Amino acid sequence: MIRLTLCKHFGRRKHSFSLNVDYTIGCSSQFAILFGPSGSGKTLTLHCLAGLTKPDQGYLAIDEQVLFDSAQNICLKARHRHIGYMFQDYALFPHLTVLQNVCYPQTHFFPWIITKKQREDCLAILDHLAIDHLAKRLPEELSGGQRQRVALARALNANPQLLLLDEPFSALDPLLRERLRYELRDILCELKLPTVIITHDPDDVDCFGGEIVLYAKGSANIVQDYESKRSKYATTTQCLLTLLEKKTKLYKVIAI
Amino acid sequence: MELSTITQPLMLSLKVAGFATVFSFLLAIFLAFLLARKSGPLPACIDAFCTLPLVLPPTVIGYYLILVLGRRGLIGQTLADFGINFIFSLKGAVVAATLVIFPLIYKSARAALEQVDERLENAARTLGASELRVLLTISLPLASKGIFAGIILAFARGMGEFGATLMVAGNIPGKTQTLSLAIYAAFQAGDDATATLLVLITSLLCIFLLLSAEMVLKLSVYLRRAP
Repeated sequence: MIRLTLCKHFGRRKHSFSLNVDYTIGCSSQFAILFGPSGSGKTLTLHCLAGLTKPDQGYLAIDEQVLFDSAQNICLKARHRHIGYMFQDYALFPHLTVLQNVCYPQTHFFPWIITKKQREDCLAILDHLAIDHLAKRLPEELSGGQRQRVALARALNANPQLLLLDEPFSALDPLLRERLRYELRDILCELKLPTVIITHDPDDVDCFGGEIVLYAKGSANIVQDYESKRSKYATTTQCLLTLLEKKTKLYKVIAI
Repeated sequence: MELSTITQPLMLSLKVAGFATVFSFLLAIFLAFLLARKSGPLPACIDAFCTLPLVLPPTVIGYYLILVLGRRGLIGQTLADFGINFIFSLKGAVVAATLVIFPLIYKSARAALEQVDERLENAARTLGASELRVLLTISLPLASKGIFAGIILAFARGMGEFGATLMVAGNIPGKTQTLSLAIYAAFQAGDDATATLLVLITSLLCIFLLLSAEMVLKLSVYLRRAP
């Protein structure tokens, strides 16, 4: 369960942006989906969650563990949060091989020095994801789908308590996207790893299901009873668009 | 002409440039790491201060150094009590060269560190890496090309340091007389043969340095690609 109350303000006057969200996810499902247009604050939320950006104010907790609390002046560093983060373009270290990339969370200091046990553990993960033959390659020599696998393997090798996926399929071509989506879901289900997913793609919502958080202009709310709302529409796209429109209108009414 | 009239200033120049490059490298990396991606009045001031040796005449730097390290200088007085003396010594030449070439490494290191994709550093942080580990295993390796270019430039510049070295370390043959000082001395003494020879050696050395830098960069790309 993730409790999340965040305030973050950027810029001044005309080009300002405020993130103001308050919700709890991870109660009923392993997956939570942050859905909304670009620039609505989804990535910023994940950055705050992972400890890469410090919110101005708020409260962040996973189960009983408080990660951030402005009232008590608690702010856990990113490296102590044990939250895996898979970046949009996967952010593989270009100067390290696949093996060194995946071993990075385990190696003591220099990623070039890998013990036998670390290598074996890492190869086991690579084998599980069916990419063990790529161990000696550099990231630039991999295809999009392979890169995603490596990024996933690297994030998993850090034994995260929570996984954040920032548009995990946007860098892939549509055909591959379709296949990898279900594979990724099956892997995560098998691991029972709580996962927060950012997406623009209604198909992702269809595949992963779970709780849905709608984002618009820096505010967010959980969609209650999504299944029954979804059944009123022919496609997921229509359903989400309508929900998003309602939310923006509501936002405008409040703003006026 | 004795061989030592050439080898002595050559070795001294290499020594001074070598030590100065190492010291200014460490200092420059540290400051570049602290100041990279920082904005605000204080970082801007420190940045301007770090760039100052690049635009100040070397004689001005030399004068400042004498004020600080001289026998009656701010620190020099205390150091003299411990028997450490910078003025008219090789140490002084190294300090002068360090200060003069520092901005070359600092500027290129800061630019190179700022060019490194921040997402890669963030990825390392979420994987549990400390800031020092992020710097040494992600940022520096990825910025190494730019930093290496700065180091070569700085070393070559250190080889030819003249003004500040002359002010602080003087022009003592066999002790502080580096290549550029030896050329000046030979020219002043009317020894054109020695001057010409030293000029040629200096020019060749600098060309060799710049060319080998290019080679090393190419080689590093090749080595990385090799299985």
